[in-house]
Amino acid sequence: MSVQSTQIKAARPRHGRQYWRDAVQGYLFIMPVVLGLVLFVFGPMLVSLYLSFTEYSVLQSPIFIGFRNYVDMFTRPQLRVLQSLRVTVVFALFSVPLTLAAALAAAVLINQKLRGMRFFRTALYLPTVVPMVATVFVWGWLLNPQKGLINATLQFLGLPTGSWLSEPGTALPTLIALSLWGIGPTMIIFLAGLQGVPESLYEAAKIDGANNWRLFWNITLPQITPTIFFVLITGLIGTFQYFVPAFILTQGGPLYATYFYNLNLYEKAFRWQFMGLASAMAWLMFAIILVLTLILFRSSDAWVFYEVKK
Amino acid sequence: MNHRFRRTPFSRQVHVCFALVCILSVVLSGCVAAQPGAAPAAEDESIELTWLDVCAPITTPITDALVEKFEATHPNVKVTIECSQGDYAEGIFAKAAAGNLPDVMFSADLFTVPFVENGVLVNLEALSEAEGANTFEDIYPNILGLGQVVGTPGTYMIPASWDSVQMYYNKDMFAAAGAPMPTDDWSWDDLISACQTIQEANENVDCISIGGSSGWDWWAYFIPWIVGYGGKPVSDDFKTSTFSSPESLAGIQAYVDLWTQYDVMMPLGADIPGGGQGCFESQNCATFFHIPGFMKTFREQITDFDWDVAVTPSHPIAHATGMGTFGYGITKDSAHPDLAWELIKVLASKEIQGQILRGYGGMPFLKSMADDPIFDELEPPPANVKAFIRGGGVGIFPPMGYPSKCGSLYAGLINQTIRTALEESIRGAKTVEQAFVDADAEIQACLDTAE
Amino acid sequence: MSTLTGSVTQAAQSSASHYRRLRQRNRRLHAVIVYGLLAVASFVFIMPFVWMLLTAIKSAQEAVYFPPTIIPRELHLSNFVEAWTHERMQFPLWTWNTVYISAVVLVGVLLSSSLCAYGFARIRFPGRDFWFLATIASVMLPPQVTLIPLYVFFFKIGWLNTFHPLTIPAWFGGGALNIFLLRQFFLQLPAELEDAAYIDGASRLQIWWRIFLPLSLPALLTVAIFTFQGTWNDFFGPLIYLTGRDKYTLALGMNLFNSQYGAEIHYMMAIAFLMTIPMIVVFFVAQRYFVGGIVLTGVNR
Repeated sequence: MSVQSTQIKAARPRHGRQYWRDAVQGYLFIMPVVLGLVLFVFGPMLVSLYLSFTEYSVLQSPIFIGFRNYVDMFTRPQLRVLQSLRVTVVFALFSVPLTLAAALAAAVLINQKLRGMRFFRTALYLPTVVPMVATVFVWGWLLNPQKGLINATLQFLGLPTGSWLSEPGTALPTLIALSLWGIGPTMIIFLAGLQGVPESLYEAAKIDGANNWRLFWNITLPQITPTIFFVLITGLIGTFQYFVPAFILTQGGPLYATYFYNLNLYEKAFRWQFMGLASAMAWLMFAIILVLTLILFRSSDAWVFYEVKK
Repeated sequence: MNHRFRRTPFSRQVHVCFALVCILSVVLSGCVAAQPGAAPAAEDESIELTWLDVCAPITTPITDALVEKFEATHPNVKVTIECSQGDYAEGIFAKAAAGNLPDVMFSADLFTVPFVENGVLVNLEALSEAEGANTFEDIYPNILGLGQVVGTPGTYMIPASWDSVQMYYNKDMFAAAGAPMPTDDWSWDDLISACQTIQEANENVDCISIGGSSGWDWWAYFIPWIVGYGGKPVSDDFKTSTFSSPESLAGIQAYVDLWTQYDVMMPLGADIPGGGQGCFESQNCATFFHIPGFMKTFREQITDFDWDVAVTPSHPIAHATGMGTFGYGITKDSAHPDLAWELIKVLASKEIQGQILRGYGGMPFLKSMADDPIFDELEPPPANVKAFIRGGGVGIFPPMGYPSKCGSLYAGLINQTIRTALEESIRGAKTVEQAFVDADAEIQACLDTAE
Repeated sequence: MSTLTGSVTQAAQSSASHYRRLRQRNRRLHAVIVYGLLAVASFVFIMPFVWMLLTAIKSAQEAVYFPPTIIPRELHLSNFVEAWTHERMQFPLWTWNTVYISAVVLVGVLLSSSLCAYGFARIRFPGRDFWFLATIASVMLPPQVTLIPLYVFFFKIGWLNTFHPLTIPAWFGGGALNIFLLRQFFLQLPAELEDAAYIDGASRLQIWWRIFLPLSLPALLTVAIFTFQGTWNDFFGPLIYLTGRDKYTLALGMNLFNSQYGAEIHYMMAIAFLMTIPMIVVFFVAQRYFVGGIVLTGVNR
């Protein structure tokens, strides 16, 4: 894209009136977001970048300390930065594909032309509009290792019971499973993707005698790769910023098994008053998300299928 | 799609609309510089005091009573209560960073050290002396300790009440199981054996509601065990961490034994929704250790069993329990510290303390009220309300004077280290000795490098 | 020739009727499976909501029973009234605040995000790709990074304890993902639309207002619903920026029932239930349209 435009520029040294009018109008149109970015994003970002090179307890003015926060993150295990990063990465590794698959499956189900689908759509979307406090109470009731509904049922059926959130080994997998509760918006986006697949493609394939599974595999999936791509990226960003359930349910325990990066960052900022270190942590996370997103973008050429190129 | 476009009034409207959006954007970004902070309060006529509170059921009656009393005598002053909640820490530090603290703020032991060390809270004793009064003389010194910092003279928080951790218990459950009723003279061994009786009779009950995902690491629960076995967490000069001294280790071991050997505590991670309070109210726990303020809640919410309170059982060498309360302080940002002091000092009056007691919201912290007739007027439950007075005498506060870089028993590195060591001990990942020798090494390393 | 055609037709007919019968049976089986799966999933997903409702009508003590009673032993429908008129609370005022904030945010988001999206989708100008990438990248920024600087900024300009920190930023772009969604939708609208309008002498602003907005109603609705939902339930923003009790929102006020010094779960759930209702209604009614508003499958013709 940029190569092309430089070539055009080289070929046409002077810009016409249209060019300047477009430029002025273009910037007028996007002015809200440009101002918004400058005022509410870039400005504060620069401040926090500066803070990340300081020791800052909020109550005293910041003291410049160079790269020490960045070094400390990797060299002082008691800050648990790498440990919490590992928790977050493991969580993302499992929860992103899992929610993606579940949301897609749910979208396929509610995309059926059967009666009552509006009810089911609303039902599956419901957990995202119910306040978190209510949901957390229900989880506590389900998962209590001694008296919870799930273990009681398992016991009744003569199956082995689980320790869920109460043991270091099972806490993170449990949270990964619980993240399925929030598939609502992803499901809706997939639903839109499914409905965007032209009916004619299916009809053609049906004439060739393809069964449902083949239809899904050979037509639906390639057609909705742009949706998958979008959901993958937003899901990735979302899991890296995962915070509330761990904050309310486990507080990072047991034994740091669910000590998510963002939870750690929050504690360092507001409990330890290590605001400088917290800013450095935030920048590290920003860098990681940025790199991952860029990799995904790079890879997208290979697997994301756009029907009509511009 | 065949639209025809003419210059209609409508399209002019669109332009106006667009222009407005643009102008709005520019004006808004422009007025950033033009609009300074809140205008200073006008002289004399109407002074405004702001009071930041958590607006909880337990604090609201107190703030309302104080404001009402104050405004009756100061008609020209308006007191505005602001509420900060969720995680108070977040809001309060953001406010501090902006230099936007209220005149009076809710404080708790957690905030004493950072706010005093950085001069955010002002010394209330100085304000009291300035008017020739001695407000603090009649207050039990152990509760005042929560508003003081070792090495910095003065008192920075006026506590709400004489809040010490004592034992709430389910009378019916003790009786039904045939366990003896707790008395104020119990030792922990007495409680443990009663607990075992109760747990034998009730398969699903955890006798003591300490556990779950939080609370078991509260200093007010485990530091008394260290003290009760003759140890202490840190040397008096805050230079040597002593969690792994033989006495401290014995105390911590006894605390950990409640899970590992006697199995009378709520297992870690086995949360009942609503925490320890929920566990007690739903009769899944036989006892609940907390401050007197829960009397009010339990009186309102518990309808199907009889309960009472008793003094926290004693340890072999010393009898100790934690003190924990909230209170109110005055910030350096206050333009009228003298007025703010007049507002909150009333908290230390017999009238207000009596009012709090009548509402089952807390224990009076005035020594002169220990035998106040109000106690006889109170209706049970709890019948043994004076357990909070008797037990208050053995209340201790945590060591406050660690260098702020290392945190404290509430937050930061020390809190995290101790929490980890406790959890490793209870879960059996390490022995108590291993865990706390390691913890001491980590804390010591920080103490050595600070200053 | 004719016999051949006849036999082929016959064979086709018989196999078609066989096929139809088979398909009918398949379809019924298919429906049973789909309904079965959906019923199980719905049960699990509705549970928090049902629990919320059941807790809202329990007595204070029954609300904390564990394991909980499924059906309340005694009905306390008055909880709704008691919670709504609770002496420590001002829910009518807080409802108004929440509605006001949501409305201002909604208008701001719709206007500014569609303006920006149009600029990104339909005008070529230098620096466009940079700004678009910057917009998208801003999503990746953890909110904690900017919290303290923003707070200090809002304090310096006197916006604390006003609705401005919650509403004004919505007028500046209205969220990167919204711009992205709308841009995607605009991209797939045919270029001929604009060309025709140009010939008729329309300005870009007119095209945006009179062609793109009306044609993008599904996309706008999608943005509106996601925005409404986010604003209505937002806890963190009001928590930081609003301190006066008269400025509270519902999400914030509701939480006053849940403090570490004694929780009133039944009241909290009553308010939470009332708060959820409008969102469910909006979603239920609007879902048909707003699914069509999400276009990610590139540029269709």
